Amino acid sequence: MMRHVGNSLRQMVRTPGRTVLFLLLLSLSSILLTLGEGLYLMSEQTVKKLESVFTTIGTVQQTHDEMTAQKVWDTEKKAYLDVASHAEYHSIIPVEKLYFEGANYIHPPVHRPYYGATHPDFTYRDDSYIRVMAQTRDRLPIVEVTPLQDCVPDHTVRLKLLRELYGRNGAAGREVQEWETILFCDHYNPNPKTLYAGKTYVMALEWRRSHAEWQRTHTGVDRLSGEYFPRSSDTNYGLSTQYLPDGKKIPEQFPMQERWDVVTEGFYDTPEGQRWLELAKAMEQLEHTIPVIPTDSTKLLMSFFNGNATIIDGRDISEKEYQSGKRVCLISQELSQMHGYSVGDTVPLPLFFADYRDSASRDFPPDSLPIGIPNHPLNAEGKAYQVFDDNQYVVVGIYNEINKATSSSGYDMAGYGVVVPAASIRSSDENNILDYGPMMGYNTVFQIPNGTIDQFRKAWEKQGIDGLEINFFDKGFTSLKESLDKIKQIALALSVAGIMVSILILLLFCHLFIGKQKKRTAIERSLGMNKLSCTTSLLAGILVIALLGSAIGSVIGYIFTGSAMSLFTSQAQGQIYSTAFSSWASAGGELNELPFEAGAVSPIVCLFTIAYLLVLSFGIALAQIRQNLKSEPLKLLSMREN
Amino acid sequence: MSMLSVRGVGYIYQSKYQSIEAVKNVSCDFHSGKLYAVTGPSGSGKSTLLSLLAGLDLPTSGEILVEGKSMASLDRDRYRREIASVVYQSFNLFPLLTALENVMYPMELLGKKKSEAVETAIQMIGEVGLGEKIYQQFPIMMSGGEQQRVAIARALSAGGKILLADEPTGNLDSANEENVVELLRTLAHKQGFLVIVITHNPYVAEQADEVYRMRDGELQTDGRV
Repeated sequence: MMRHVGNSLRQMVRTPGRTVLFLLLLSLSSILLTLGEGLYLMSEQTVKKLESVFTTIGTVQQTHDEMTAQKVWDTEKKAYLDVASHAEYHSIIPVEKLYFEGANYIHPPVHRPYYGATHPDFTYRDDSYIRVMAQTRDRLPIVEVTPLQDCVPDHTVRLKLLRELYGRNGAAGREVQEWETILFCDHYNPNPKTLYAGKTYVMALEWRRSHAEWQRTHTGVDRLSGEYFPRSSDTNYGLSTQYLPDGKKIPEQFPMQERWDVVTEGFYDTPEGQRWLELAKAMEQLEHTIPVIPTDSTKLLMSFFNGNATIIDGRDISEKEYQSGKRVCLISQELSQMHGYSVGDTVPLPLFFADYRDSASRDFPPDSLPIGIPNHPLNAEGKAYQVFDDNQYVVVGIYNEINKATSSSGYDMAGYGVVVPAASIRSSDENNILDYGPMMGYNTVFQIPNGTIDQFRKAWEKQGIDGLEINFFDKGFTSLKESLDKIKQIALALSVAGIMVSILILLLFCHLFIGKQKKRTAIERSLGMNKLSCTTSLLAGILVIALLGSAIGSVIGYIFTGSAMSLFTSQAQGQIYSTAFSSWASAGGELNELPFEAGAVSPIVCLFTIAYLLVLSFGIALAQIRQNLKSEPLKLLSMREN
Repeated sequence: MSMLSVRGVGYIYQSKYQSIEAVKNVSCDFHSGKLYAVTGPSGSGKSTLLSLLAGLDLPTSGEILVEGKSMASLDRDRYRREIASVVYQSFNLFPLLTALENVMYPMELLGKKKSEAVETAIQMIGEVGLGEKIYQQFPIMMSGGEQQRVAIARALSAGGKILLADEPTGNLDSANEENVVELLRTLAHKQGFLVIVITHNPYVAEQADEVYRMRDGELQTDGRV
C-alpha cells in the first residue's frame, strides 16, 4: 500500500508546476473556506456575546408646549430682568400611552420618582457642601425679625434678629443675641410692603450679595457683604408642591398671603403659625435625608448603563431580587464611607417623600455642586411629610461613579444615593408626592430587546402620539450588529466562493491527475494491479496534496480570521459608548473596562475545512478513478482493434 | 503440457446497439520455449485474442487453460503479475518514472525489497542490451528501441513465463526491429519463455517458430502457416 502511495506521489512530484499550482489553488480555496466559516462563526458568537453584554434602553421625555421667559423685578436695577426661560407643559402625558401593541418591552417604562429617606443617623461629611450649608444655615434660615424703624425694603435695610426657627448657627430654639441684626431687601418685589418697627415678622430667607451701592459705602461692615431676601417672594413658589398620583396638584390649605407673616400673641397656635414650625422641622429633617432610587434593573440607570457607575464591592442586585422586590440595595461609596456601611450590613430606609419631577442627582448632587434639596418640603396641609415606608435593606453592593457629575443633566447618580428594587417599596406613596412633573429621560426609562429599535419606532409611530420624545441607547449595538451582519454576508460569500473554487479546482486537477492518467491505470492493470490498488495509487497523491493544501490554507485562513476580528473589535470598541447624556464621557472621562470582545475562533474550523476538502477530494477523485477503471486497459494501450 | 491452451474460445462485444463476435470458436496450444506470431488483417480479432490470453478479459464461450488450469478459476491480476507480461507497440512506459523505476514497478507490486528490485532491474536492463546510462532516463529521453527494450525488461522483471507482445516493432526502425525480434527469440529459445507476438510485420512472422493467421475472428483451418 505504502509503495502505491510512494509511486503516486513520486509521479505527482515529477510534474512540479502542476502539483504546486494544485497545492496553491487548493490552499487558496481552503483560505476562503476557513475565513468564511471562521468569520461566520465568530460573527454568530459575537452577536450572542453582544446580546448578553449589551442592553438597549429608551428614555422618554415629554416635550414642552412652550418656553416661558421668566421676568423678575430687580430692585437694584429698578427694572424687570429676564431670567432663565422655563418649559411649560399644558398637560402631563401619562406613561400608559407607551403601553401599545408592538412594544416588546423587557422592562416597560414606568414614571419613577426618587424617594427621600430620613433617619437621624444620616448625616453628611463635615467637609461636604450640604453639611457646611447645614452648619451655617446661610441659605435658608427661618427667622423672626423686626425692623429698627419703619421701612419699605426696596433697598438694603437692617433688621433685628429676634428668633431663629431654623437658623444659621444651630438647631431651632437657640438663643439669639441682643445685638444680632441681618441685612434685608425685598429684592425681587416691585411693590414691597412696609415693615413696621415694633412688629415681629416671620419669614424664610435666602441669601444674595448686597447691592453694589451698599457694598461701596459699607465695605467691611458686614462679614458676608450680603443680604437676605424673602424666599416666598416668588409668587409661583409656595411652601408645598404636593400632588396626587394622577399628576393633579393639591391646593395648599394655608397658602402664603404675603411674603411673611406677622407674629402676634398665639400666632404659632394658628394653622399659619404651625406651618412655619413645620417648615423648620421639615428643613431640619432634610439635613438627615438621603436619596433612594427605585428601579427595575440597574441597567436602567444611565450612569450604570454607560459604564460610568460601577460596583466596586459586592455584587449587583440580581434580576430575581428585582422581580421579587427583595429588600436589598446598592449604596454609594460616599454613603458607605460616611457611615461605615459594608456589604452585608443593614441600612434603614424610612421613606417620607416621593419626587416625580426632579432627578435625585439634581436635588442631591455629589460633593462640590450647588445644593438643590427640596425647598418646598411641606404637604398641602402645611405639615412635614411623614414616613410612609419604613424597612431595613441589606447592602449587596457598593458603587462608585468613575467621574462625578459635572452637569445638571439629571442622569448621573445622586450623592449619598441608594439603589433599591422598585418592587421592594410596597407601601403607597400617594400621600407623599412632594412634586410631580412630566416624564423625563432620567425618570422614565425602558428596556427592549437588542436590535429592535427600528421595530419599536415603527410601532410607536403608528400610535400617532405627539409630545413624547423617545431616545434610544444601545452602546452601538445596532451599528455593531449591522457590521456583524455584513461580515456574515461576506463570510457566506467567501464560503460559497471557497466551495465553488474548491469544486472547480478539484474537478480540474482530478481530471489532470486522474482523468488524463487513464493510460497509467491501464498499464498498472496490465501489470497485474487490481482495481483497489489502482484506486489507492491514484487517490493517494490527490489526498496527500489535498491534505497539505487544506492544512496550509486553513491555518492561513485561521490567522486571517483572527486578524479580521481583532480589527473589527478595535474599531467596534470605539463606538460602544454613546457620549450623549453622559457628562463624564463628554468631559473626556476614561473607561476602566471595555465590556465587549469578539468571539474566539475555534480551531475546529480548520479541521472542518480540512475534512471538507478531503471528503470532496475523495469523492471527485473516486468518481474520476471509476471512469478510469471502466476503460478497457488493452483498448487504451492500443491493443484492441475492434 | 501446453503453457496456454485455447479451447473453443469465442468473444462477443456487447454494445447498446449491436453485438460483435470478435473471436469465434478458436482453439490452439502455446508451448514454452517458442516464439509464436499471430497475424491477420485489422479487425480480425487477434488483439482480442491477446487480451484474453493476458487475462484482461474472459471469453464469452470456451476456455483458456494456463498449465492445465482454467483461467476463469485463477486470480487474473495475480496471473498478470506473476506469470504473463504484456509488451505494447507504443511501449506504454510510465512517463514520469525513470527506466530503472519502470522496470522495478512490477517487482514492487510483488512486494520485493527495494534493494532486491533495484538489483534485478539492473540485471534485466542489462539482459535487454541496455547500459547504465539509461537507468535515470525518463521515457521521453529514450529512442523507440530503447523504450521497447525497457518495456521488455519490465515485462521480464516480475519473473513470469509468458510474454505477450502487441506489435512490438510497430514503432521501430528496421535496425531496432531486428534487435527486438532477436531479443524475443533469445527469450523464447534460451530462457524458455512462451512468447506470443501479434504482428502485421512479415519479417517478425518469418522469425517466429509458429504462426497463426486470423480472419474475421477465426483461426484459419488449423491456423498454421
